[in-house]
Amino acid sequence: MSNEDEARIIEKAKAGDNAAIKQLVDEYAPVIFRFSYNICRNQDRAEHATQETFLSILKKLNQFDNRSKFSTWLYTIVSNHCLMLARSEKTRRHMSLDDDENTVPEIAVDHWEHDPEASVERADLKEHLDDAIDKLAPEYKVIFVLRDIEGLSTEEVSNITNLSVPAVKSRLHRARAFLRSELTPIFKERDHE
Amino acid sequence: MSETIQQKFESCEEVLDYICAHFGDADDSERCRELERHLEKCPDCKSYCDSIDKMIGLYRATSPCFSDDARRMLLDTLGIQERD
Repeated sequence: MSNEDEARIIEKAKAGDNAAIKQLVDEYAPVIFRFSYNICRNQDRAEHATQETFLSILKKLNQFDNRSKFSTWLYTIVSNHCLMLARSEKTRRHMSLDDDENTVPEIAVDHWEHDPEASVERADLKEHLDDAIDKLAPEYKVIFVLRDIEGLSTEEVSNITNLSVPAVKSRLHRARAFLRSELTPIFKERDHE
Repeated sequence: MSETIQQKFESCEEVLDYICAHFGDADDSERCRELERHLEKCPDCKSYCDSIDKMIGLYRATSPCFSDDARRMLLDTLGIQERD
């Protein structure tokens, strides 16, 4: 969808045009769902979060003023929604990561001997990926998902999360290192088989 | 025993910082070519970079699609008919 088409559809959606709203759903619901899924790694919860986020988007659509990209605005709403949900789940414990943006964490350089790409079919792989990301604090998870899974630039992530670029880089670095260290035992398994 | 990049290569800190900011970007800058040259001669940074790439690929590959049922439920929630 071109920027001009998108702007026209948004204006129609603001006026309550259902066909335009449906076009926004078709364009952006899969994006919001994928983001939500990667935060909670649960299909039902991700579908629910997508519904809640879309209700919120339609309620706030008149506040969108075209000063940022529409996708940036959407990611801001869904990120805040997911962070709010995560904070309300007081029973979960996440790994504490040092948040000092001026220090680069030490990175273990264990080699992944086993090719993980060949493991996509492994029944327990998804479970390991879910367990690893579940241990990550939501504030780090959001950065990892926006930057690495959604493929946004560091500057876009900075705008969405209202963090400085160095803070985004620091959190991303720590999130990647943490996930990699959690997954390393899985991909070194073959050494011991 | 696992060693750390910081212990082995002081300059790798800068490499990691660059990887962190630009990983996944299609970048044809001199800085990016410099990174590629570094990765060719630094097995630890290359291993780190490759494993991050694979890890991200796995997270992307295990993300399900937004189903037709979920789309229908969403449109219902928003009060929109399929024929609108």
